[in-house]
Amino acid sequence: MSRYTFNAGALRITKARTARLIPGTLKTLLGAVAGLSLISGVVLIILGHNPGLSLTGVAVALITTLIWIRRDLDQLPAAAVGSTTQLEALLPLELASHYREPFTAAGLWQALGAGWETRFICVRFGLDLNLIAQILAQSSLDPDQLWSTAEQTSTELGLPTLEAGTILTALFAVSPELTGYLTKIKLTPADLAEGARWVHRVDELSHIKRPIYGGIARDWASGFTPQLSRFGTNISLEVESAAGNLATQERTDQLDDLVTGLNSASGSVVLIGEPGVGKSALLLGLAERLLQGRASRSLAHYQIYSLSASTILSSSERSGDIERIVMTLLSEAGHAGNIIIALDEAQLFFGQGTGAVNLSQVLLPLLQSRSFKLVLALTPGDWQRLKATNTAMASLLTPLVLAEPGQANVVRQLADRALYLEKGQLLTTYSALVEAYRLSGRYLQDEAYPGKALKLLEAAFNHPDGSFISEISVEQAIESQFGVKVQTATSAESDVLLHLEDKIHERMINQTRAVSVVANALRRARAGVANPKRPIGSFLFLGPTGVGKTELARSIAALYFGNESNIIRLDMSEYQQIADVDRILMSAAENPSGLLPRVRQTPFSVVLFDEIEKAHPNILNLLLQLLDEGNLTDTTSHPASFKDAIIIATSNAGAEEIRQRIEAGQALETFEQEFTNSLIDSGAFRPELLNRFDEIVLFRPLNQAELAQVVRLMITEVNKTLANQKIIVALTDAAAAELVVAGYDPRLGARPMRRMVTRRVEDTVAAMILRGEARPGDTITLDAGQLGGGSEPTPVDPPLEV
Amino acid sequence: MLLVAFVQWWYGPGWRDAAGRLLARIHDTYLLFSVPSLLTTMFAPWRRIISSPGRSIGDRARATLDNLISRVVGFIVRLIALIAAGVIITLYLVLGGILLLVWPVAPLLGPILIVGGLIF
Repeated sequence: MSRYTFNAGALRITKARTARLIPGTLKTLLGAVAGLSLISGVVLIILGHNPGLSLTGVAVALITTLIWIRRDLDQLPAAAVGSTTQLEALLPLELASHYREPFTAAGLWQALGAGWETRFICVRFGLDLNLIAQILAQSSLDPDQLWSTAEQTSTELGLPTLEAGTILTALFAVSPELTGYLTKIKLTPADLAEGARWVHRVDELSHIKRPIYGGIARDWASGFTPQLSRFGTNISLEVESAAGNLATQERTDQLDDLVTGLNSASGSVVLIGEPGVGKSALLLGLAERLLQGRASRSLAHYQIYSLSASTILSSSERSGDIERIVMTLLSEAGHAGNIIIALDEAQLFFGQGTGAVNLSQVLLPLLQSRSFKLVLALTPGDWQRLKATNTAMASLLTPLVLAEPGQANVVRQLADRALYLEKGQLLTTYSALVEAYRLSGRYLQDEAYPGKALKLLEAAFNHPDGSFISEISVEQAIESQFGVKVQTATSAESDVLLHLEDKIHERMINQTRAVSVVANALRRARAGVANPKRPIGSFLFLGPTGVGKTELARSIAALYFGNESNIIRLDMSEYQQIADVDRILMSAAENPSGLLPRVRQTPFSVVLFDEIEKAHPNILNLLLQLLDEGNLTDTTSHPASFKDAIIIATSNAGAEEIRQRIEAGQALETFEQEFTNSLIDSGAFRPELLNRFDEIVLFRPLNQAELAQVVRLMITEVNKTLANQKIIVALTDAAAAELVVAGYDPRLGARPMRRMVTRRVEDTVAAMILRGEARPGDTITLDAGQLGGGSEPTPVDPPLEV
Repeated sequence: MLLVAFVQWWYGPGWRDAAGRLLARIHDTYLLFSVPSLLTTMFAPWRRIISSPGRSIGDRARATLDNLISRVVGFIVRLIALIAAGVIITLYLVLGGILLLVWPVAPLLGPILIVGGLIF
């Protein structure tokens, strides 16, 4: 015997099915007929024609019927969950009108599919209605388990009655086949529960009644505020014109605290939170409450004016102007008697930050006199500074700390915003909301939730994916904003990744072992196999000068991040003092081109720590944290993520030993471990640092044959420079060999070759161009004797063109 | 069955619902005209336009006169608003009262009028 029963003959079911038979258009038509009948009936009665009575009677009968349909048949509230086990009372109206016994999963799905709620969830979550019908046609479910799960879901979501969304969620939760289907599309029943909440919210928002914000005489007992209107923004007016559509959710507790603070003895509150945490949204919520008179009797119909420090500062022409303006504004607020002043960027009024002015002396006596109410917005750091520098002022303020909301809360706020942004033209998928949360958390680290996620979602509306805002839209938004790659590798990119070694060797000579190690790490990262909580890859490049360590770093930047300029290079010989620790952690305000601001700006970069062995030991400790946790925190306590960066440290330590071993004929692979141990034993590096690198990569010295290839690569670069002039430079084998002999220094590797090419090739070609001996279309082939002051070369067909 | 359901609703919840909607409409009008605020600030100065009393007797007298004028203006405007609210609420009460009185006979009125029109 099933615990839940369904009586198809119950009055509610009969009424629901009757209501279903009368569509909205028919109701409108009946209304029109009733109106016309009434008017013509009355007119005929006045004119003395008896049929007028019948027409009026028809009108009265129609009106009576329509009232019944609209006020009874279309309403039929469901019973509260837990109050009964009779489905005819529990089911939502639309479902009740379609539901049939005996219970089958497929039948229930068919009944659910008739409602807009199911279609809403299927579209937003990418669920295939037909596929689900096919799955359910072959599965049987325990109805008691389904209905009790649906009731439990409603209770967990705080919904008083069963709704189509909660029943759908329960259906997916109790059906193993549907749970499997969800898993395949990377969803869970918990996600669908959020969908049910979203549907409920849509329904709620569509039934919001325009509130009455105090009526026509609201401000008749309050003073005029011309100066506040000039220098500030009336937040309450914004709320009033939005007519309830700015309703904020999940902020009830914070609003209660804010109202309590404003009603306290001091009457002034400081909102403490990072940018984006929702200080402005909280003020909107407060304005809504105050206008509706729901906050408290003493604050009913107060209005909030937000003063912008920058507007006031820019309006002052002479010394003392700012103080005068602020005094005027605050006096006006006090006199008006119904104003709360909100100071955004309040730190600027207390002498903190660029362009700031210290108005403590002006504000303090006014706050002490409690002649008006004030809400300040400060970051935690600015609040601490205010407390340290102005205790008297801080003691007059009631602090209210706004913490970052969790994922579920942020996603709900995103869902609300999405409905507002769609404007009936686009549809936002649930995965787009989750992606906006995830990506903003990772890449917008200067701001807090929910602000950064909302900002990213808004940006995604510039990148519609067909008629949807999908996760691709969000990824495109973050890519266009940051120039970073977050989307799955395309086939073209996959080709580059699969042939990374070949691509790198187009720019680099030899070092096959180093190239191979790095290429493998990059492939792991792009395929999503690497640990997402650490940098994409971290490498310690060891080897003599001029063997290609920096060139490999540049190649990675060019091939992996698409641009050779995506490299942040730090010469660690400039960070040898303990004071340099602070320098490396400078915030954007202190040094916009510092390491952390640059990593925030271009998170997908190669970060190159050159000559790491020269850095101060405390900086190496920072490097430990960076490699371990994938982030560093700047001097203002803002984290910077290195999780999308490739960390490369280079060092010449042990270069001589590598050179000797290679010359002795040993292969790199055979002595890598032994060499690493010797570096630890010699104290060059601490073992904990070496252990944190993904790979320690040894670079071998280049021999003369390899240097000849390097020379040819350099000539290719020269030709790229000359491409505009349509002149090509080529070297004979003898010329290349002569350059190698002249520039070879086993201690400096390829580095002297750059000088040789500049002096002996570029200078020679420049002289020829200036003398008019090389013209567009010429190929200049330089032989050994013609380099750098030798006999004049002759334009001939090149025996060796590189 | 539907006829029974209609009758049950019309003479029970439906009637109460109509009365409730009328009261809600009156309450909205009451709020729209800010009646509570008008009553509590009936004699307050209009938009807080007041003069500070000076030191001399003449200044004080002028300030008192200014403030009196502000209060009188405020009173007149508020009184007009209150009268308007009163008129509208009275209209609602009268028309709504008639509707509630007619409510029980409305279901019968339609058929009676139809038949009456045909007979007479």
